[in-house]
Amino acid sequence: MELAADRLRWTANGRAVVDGVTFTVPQGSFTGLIGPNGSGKSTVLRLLAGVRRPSAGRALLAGSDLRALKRREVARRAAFVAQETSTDIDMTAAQVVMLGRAPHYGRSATSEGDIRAVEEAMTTMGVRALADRSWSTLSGGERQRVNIARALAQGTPVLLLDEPTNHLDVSHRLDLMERLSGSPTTVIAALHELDLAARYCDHLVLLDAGRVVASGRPAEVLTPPLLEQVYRVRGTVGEGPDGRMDVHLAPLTHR
Amino acid sequence: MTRTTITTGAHRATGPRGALVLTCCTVLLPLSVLIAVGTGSADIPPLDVARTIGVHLGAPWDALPPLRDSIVWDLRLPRVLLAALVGAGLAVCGAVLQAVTRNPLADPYLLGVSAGASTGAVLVLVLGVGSLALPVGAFAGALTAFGCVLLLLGRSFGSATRVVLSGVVVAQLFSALTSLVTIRSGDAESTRAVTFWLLGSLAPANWVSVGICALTTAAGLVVCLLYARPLDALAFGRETAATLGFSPRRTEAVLFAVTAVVTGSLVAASGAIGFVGLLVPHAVRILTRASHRLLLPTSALLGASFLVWADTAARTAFGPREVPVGVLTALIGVPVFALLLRRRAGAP
Repeated sequence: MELAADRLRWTANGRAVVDGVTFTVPQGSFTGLIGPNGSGKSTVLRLLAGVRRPSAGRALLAGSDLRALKRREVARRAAFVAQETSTDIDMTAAQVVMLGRAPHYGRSATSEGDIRAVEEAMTTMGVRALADRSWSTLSGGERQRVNIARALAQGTPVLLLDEPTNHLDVSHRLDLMERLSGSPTTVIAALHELDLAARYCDHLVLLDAGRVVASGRPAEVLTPPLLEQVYRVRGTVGEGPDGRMDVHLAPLTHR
Repeated sequence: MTRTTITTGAHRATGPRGALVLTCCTVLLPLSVLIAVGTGSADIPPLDVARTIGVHLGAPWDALPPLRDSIVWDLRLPRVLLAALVGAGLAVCGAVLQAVTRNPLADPYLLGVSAGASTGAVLVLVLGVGSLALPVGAFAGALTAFGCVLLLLGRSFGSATRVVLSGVVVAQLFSALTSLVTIRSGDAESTRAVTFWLLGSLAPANWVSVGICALTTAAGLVVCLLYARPLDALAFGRETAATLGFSPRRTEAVLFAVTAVVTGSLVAASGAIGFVGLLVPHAVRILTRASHRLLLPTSALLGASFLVWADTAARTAFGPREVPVGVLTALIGVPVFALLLRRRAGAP
């Protein structure tokens, strides 16, 4: 299922946080949304997920405007993982993952299919052993994995992830990126690690100050001039030992 | 093994443990009512209590002597039933507001309702409209305070912190108004009334207040149960709830209104009894780790039994003097809760 931003604009207190953003996330692709802090990545994701209403422009899910769809219809097609989810209410990890099944519930109680989807998602994210643990006792990385499992249990053709690699250790980080790039699901993720974005994404959208600066294949977006212009860093782009794209970054002042 | 771990992980609304706790609480409540009605200066065996209730409901049994019949039916039963209803209603409202604000410190008085009720009650007393208008004034005050909270919140409600802060500010305002009115009037009766509203008492119970509270509490519980699933999602976060297909704003609006009306009617009947709405939902969460579909009815049942026992202790333990029931809910509730918390800390 395809996802698209059409001249999206979102203003807060008269300031445009997102200003005329247009791009398409092709069906089945893994698209990385990159850009410095405050460039509008999270807001774009929220607009595309339907959590926020655009001030102008449209967020399109499979060609239809999100505003024309019912919340539940959107929830069956697109799952969203926010950057920070904090609650002081005592819930177990399994309960959190089960929330992902909410858009599929009928009037009756939880079905066998729901249980299966929850178990599968927890296995995929390696959190089955945490099922009965209380959310408040989980580490940052464990919470992140449980929350992604919650989105996977939602079983949607589209996933929107805000910094999904946050708090994850190296092995879980690589494992997640492998899975996302290998899955048939349409994925858009805000990412900070440009090396990971370069290696695993099919498609990158580079934001700066709420506008799209560049979009396209990683090699087209992660160019030394653009990296210097947007991130104020010196980037060297090459090919890694496994044939995938490799990015090396250094401060501008470094000689 | 992992399979059983997950299926008992209480993400099903009725895990085996949750079902057990619900069953225990269901059995506990009628027993508590029968024993509590029988307890007092004149001891009446629980079976006689059951017999009297049966006779009044039309069963062809022998009635007790008129005096004892009247003690059961006119004096004690309304009070015990009111205690059960208030306990149930406050526990449900507490559970709902804790989930909606994702704040474990939330209680039914979060939205300024009890402060508003005190102001309303004191105004009625000072204006001398008569004691019958007292619950009406209290209820009107409660809703006025809730209206002020809504005004402060504005159309979008915003964050949970904003809800909590608005409630605190409005409660402060109405406490100040209450003090002002009390001091202006300077009569001992309104001062006593303020104390009553602040600590709560089930002594003024009668069949009318039982009827009204039964209606609001039952209706409130039904509406909250209809929102059990959005509540599960909201407890995890507003944004997540929105992407799971629920409207956070609509859920919040409905549940705020329901808890305000229920709490308002309960406070009008019994004053602001503390701790029940704060502690009972936590105790049930710790005992069952269930989702709201099970958590809400279990909280209602446990809250009912808890307040029945607290009020029985309040009127008998220090006889002939009656202790305000709010004192007892704290004295009984805090140690029980401390035990639960300790157990909880020891669990994985």
